[in-house]
Amino acid sequence: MLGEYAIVSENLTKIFRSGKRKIVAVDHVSLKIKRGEFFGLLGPNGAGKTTFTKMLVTLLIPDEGEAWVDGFSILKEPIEVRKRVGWMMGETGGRALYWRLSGYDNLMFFAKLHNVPRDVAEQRIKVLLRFVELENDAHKLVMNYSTGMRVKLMLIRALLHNPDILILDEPTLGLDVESARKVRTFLRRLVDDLGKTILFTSHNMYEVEMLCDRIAIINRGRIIFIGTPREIREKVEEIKIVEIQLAENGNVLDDVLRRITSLSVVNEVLSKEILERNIIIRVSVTDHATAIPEIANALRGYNIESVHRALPTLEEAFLKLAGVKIFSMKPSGVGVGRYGRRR
Amino acid sequence: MAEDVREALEIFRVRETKKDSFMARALASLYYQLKIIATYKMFLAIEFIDIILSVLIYYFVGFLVSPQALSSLGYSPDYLAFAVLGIGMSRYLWTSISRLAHKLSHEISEGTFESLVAIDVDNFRSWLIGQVIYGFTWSSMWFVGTILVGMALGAKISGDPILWFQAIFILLLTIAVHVGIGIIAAGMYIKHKQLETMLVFLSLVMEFFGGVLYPLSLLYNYRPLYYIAMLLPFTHGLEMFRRTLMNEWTILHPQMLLHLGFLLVFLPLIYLGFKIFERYLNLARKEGVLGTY
Repeated sequence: MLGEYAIVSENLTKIFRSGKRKIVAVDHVSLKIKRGEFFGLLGPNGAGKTTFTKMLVTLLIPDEGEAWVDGFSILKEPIEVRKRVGWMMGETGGRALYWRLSGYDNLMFFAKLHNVPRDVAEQRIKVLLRFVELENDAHKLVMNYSTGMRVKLMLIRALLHNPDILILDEPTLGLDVESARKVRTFLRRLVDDLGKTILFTSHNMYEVEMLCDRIAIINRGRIIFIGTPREIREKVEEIKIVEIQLAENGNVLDDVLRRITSLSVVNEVLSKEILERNIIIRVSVTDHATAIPEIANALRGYNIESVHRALPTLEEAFLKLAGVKIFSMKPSGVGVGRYGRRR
Repeated sequence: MAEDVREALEIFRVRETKKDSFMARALASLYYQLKIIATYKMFLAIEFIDIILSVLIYYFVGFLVSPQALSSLGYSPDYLAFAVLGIGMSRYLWTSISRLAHKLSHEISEGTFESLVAIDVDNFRSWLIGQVIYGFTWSSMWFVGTILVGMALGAKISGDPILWFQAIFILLLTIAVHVGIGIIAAGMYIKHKQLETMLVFLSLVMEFFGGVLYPLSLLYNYRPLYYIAMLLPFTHGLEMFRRTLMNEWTILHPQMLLHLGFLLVFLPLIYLGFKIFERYLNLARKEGVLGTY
C-alpha cells in the first residue's frame, strides 16, 4: 500500500502544552502524497503547516497517529526517514546555518554529515552555487549574506544528498523576482524530469497554483480540503465573482468603489488593484446575469475595458473554505498585477 | 536560464554510493568547529592572556604556602607545580563536562540544532564525539600553555618521558570518564535549559572535592567530606596525575592502583551518557523544544 506513496500520514496529531494550556497544532491529519507528485500545503500563519512537516522530518514526535516517509515509519525508523528526505526550514531558516562558516563550508559540512563522497559533494556544490548565482560569495561568512542568499544556501543544503523526497518550507520567501522564478522552474523540473516528490508549504497563492499537482488546505491544524488547484476553485464556484477592468488612473478608485458598493447585487469587494493606467476590481455578487449590466451601468462615464464573470482565485476559495485570509504578505517574485488573474 | 536548470538537474541523475562513516562525520564536526572558533579572534587572544594570569595567581600564592607543609602531606614541596598541575587538569576535565552543554546551548539558540537533528543518523554519537575531540584539542593547547608558563616561572615538574606517557594515559582515562558526565549534562540542557546553574554547581563540586588547589589529604580530618571526595572520579584522576609528575610514582604503586580501580569503575558512564542523551533528545522532540525562537 505504501509503495505508491512517498508520504502517508494517518491521524497525525501534535499537541503543545504550556502549563494548563493545550494547543492542538495538528489535529488528526491524514494525507497521502504520491511518488513524483508536487504537493502544496497551504494555510495561514499558525495553521499547523510547519508542525506537520517537522513531524514528517522526525524533529517532532506526534502525540497521536503515525506517518511513513518513503515507506519508513517516522516513529520506528526515524534514521531511515532522515536519510531519504531533504528538508528546508522556513521562516527562521537563516538561523539554521552556521553564520561563522562560509557558504561553501556550511554546505561541505552538511554533505559530510550526509556521507556524500567528497568529489560528488564538491561537484554538486559548485554547480548549485553557480545555479543560484552565489559562486562569487561562496567563501564569504554566512553572517555577511543577505536573507535571499541564505535562502538559496538552505535550498542547496536540502538537495546535497540527492534525496527522493523534498520537504520545503517556503523555499522562495525572501528571494528576488528573477531568482524565485528560476527556483520554481528548477523545482518543477525536479519532479517532472527526475521523479522527485516535493511537499511544499507556502503562503504564495500564485506559486502554489503554478507548481502544485495537488494542494491540501490546512487551517487550525485540520485539513479542510485536498484536491487540484482547479478542483478547489470548482468547489467554491457558488462564489459568484465579477471582475471589472477600467482603463483609468488610481485617483478615481474611491468614486468607482462608492458606485459599485451602492448596488444591492454586490455583496463585497474582494480585491482592488491599480496597475499604471488600469484598475482591476473583483467583487462577489448575488447573481451574474443581473450584476454585470448593473455594474456596467453604474460605471457609465468611465473607460470600461470589461465587466465579466470570473472564477474564484485560490485565495478567494480559501477564504470561502476556511473563513480566514490565507496570506499575510506580498508573495516574492510575483508582480502585483498578476495576482488573481490566472485562470 | 534553461541551460542553468538543465545543468543543475544533470548532477542529480547519477546516484552516488554513500559509505556510512562514523569517523568521517565525527571529524567533520571537529574540523568545522575549529574553523568556527578561528573566527573568534578576540576570544583566542583573551584565552591566551587567561593562561598566563591563572598561573601567575598561584605563583604569588605559592609565596604564602610553606614548602614544609606540602612535604608533610606527601608531595614535593613545590606549590606552583602542585597548583599548575591541578588547574591544568581541572581545566581539561571542566572542558570535557561543560563544553558539550555550552555547544548545545549555542546550537539551540542559533537554530542550527534542528538542522543537525534532521540529518542525524547515529543518535548524535558522531557529533558528540567530534565535539569531545574538539574540546580535548582545545584544552590540550591550554594545558600545554599552563605547564610551559608554570615551568618558566620555576615549577618543578618531572621531565621523564615515560612518566609523561603515563600521565597522558591517566589524563585520557580521566577524560573518558568525564565525557560521560559531560554528555549527560548536555542531554539535561536540551530538556531543562538551566545551563549556568548546573555548570556552576558541577564546577564547585569539582574544585572543592577534587583538591585542585589543596592536597586531598587535608580533607582527611573532615571525614564526611573526604568520603564524598573519594566517590568522585575527578579526585582519583587528579591524584594519580600529580603523583606521577610530582612524586614520580609509577602506575604499579599500590595507591596508584587503588585510584586506577576507582576510575575504571566510572568508565561505563560514557555508554550511560549516550543513552541518557538519547532519552533527553527524544523528550525534547516530544515536547517540541529543540529550537528556541
